[in-house]
Amino acid sequence: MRFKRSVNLTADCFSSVFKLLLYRIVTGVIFFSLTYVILHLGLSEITGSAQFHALTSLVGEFFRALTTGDVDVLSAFQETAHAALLDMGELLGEHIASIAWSIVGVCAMYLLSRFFNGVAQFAVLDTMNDRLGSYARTRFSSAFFRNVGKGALYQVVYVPLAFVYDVLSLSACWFFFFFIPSLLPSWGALTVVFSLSLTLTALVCFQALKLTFISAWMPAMIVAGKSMAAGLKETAHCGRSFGRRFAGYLVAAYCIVVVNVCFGLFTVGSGLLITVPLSFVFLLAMQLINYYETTGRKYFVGYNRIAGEKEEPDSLE
Amino acid sequence: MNTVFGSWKYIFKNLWSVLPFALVPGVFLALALDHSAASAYLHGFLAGDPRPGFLVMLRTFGVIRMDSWLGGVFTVCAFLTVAVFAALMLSFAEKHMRLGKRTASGLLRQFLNVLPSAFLLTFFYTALFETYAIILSAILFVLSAIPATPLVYVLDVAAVLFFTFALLYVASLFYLWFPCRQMTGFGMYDSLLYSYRLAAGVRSKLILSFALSYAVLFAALAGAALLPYYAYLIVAAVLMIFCFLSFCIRMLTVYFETDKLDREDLLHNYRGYRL
Repeated sequence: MRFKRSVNLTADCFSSVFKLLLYRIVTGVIFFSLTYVILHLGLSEITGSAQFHALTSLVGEFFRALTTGDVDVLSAFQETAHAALLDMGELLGEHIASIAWSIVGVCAMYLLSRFFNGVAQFAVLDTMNDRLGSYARTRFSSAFFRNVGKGALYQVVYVPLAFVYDVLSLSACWFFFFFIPSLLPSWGALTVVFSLSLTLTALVCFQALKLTFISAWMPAMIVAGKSMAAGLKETAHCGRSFGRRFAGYLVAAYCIVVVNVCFGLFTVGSGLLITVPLSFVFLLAMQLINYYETTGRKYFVGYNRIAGEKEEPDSLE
Repeated sequence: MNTVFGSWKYIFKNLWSVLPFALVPGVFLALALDHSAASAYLHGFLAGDPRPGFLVMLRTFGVIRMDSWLGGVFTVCAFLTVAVFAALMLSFAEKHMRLGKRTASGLLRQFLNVLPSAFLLTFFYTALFETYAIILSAILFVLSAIPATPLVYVLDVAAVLFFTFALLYVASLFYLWFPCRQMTGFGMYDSLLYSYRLAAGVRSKLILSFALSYAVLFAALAGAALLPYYAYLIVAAVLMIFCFLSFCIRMLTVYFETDKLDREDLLHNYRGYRL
């Protein structure tokens, strides 16, 4: 029932998908441009140097020799590549400070973009909450500015935590993909398929686990008006119906993967413009419905229809 | 129409009373503009080369001068004078609108009350405008990597229009923050919430009034950038004086209109004369 109601809520608030899409396109363009500028200003001396050009032309020459079968170039390649790499290493050593600052700048842009995307999710969740709680439609912009403070505080804590969790889960997936097959007998392609399946399963399970743990955090801040710390405390202690929520998120994660891959493949990527923001909106709807159900709150599922109330028996009249 | 042109009506009716407050910040704002960068950008743009480099773009669009230490001093002076004179002028204009009196008595007390908010708001709008300048320059810089020059021109114009609209929209969200704080005495957050609610009904008109002023300012400054430095400075100073006046006075006229307060400066006094 929760899954179905989440789907209904997503369909009811479908305009949020387009708002989120527009927001993500604008912020994506802004952060891409800023990252481009940082890299250009930081690394222009390296990319414009003779050593860099020598190395890139060497790589091009290698592939040309490989396709034409130029044995002379291929036999001398190791020596020339070694010399070019040494020169490049020396150049990189001279510009280590600008490289380090560029990396810091790119990381800062990445974290900032996640931060702003998270604040937008907060706003979408707030508009959905108004729909569930009072059957009202709130404007995205007013929800955004109403929640920018709370959302910012939440993102400051959530983004680093999620970043660490994602890195750890990706490391575990890497382990599943590369090390588990070595423990198995060699069955050729079947081993690769098995390890790929295992990796995907692990990835989906890790994401479902993360979503289950943070499930009540944002809704507690928006629905119950709790502080960021109180919301975190509530989501940590929200042991009730853990298995049910985990199962819901697991199925949701699989559905999201299938829908995105299918749309991506059959529309040559253009369908992802709709399905990616739709996936985020759907996950937010699930968080909200789960919170309302877990805390026993009533909510609107339609005009004059409230979930949680006893339904009147059918009349014969 | 009152929201869009109400401030201009007030300014021209009381020009000699409010103009002295705008002279110093207007001149410093003009000095804080980077003529050499604007001129280089515009000459290149008109000559068929819209790719001047990121720093030239940033210096053209930004309000913080980075070309010399003197430019930095002008920027600091502009910041300080805008905050101080905005607080003075708004105290003066508030009294005129509330009581119909254009006198200096009690001005200092109200000035000291609103000065911290004026500094905070000046810092906020400076940061907002500089963020706009950085983002716009970064996007124009990325667009300049496109090899087809006609496409660069079209996308440049589209980017300037889009991000200027975004800037004006964001500015309109916070526009009544200062007068709301000045008149109600609420805390920063409560006055922001209240001002947001007040401005919600007139947002499109506010954006239109900003857009009209900004379009004139942008076009005139772009035209003046082709002139020699001192001619540019005179044009920019005149424009900045009127922009400063319009930006500050519009805060009060729109606040009085949206909060449905009577404007005593519009009424006749008991002797039958206008004050």
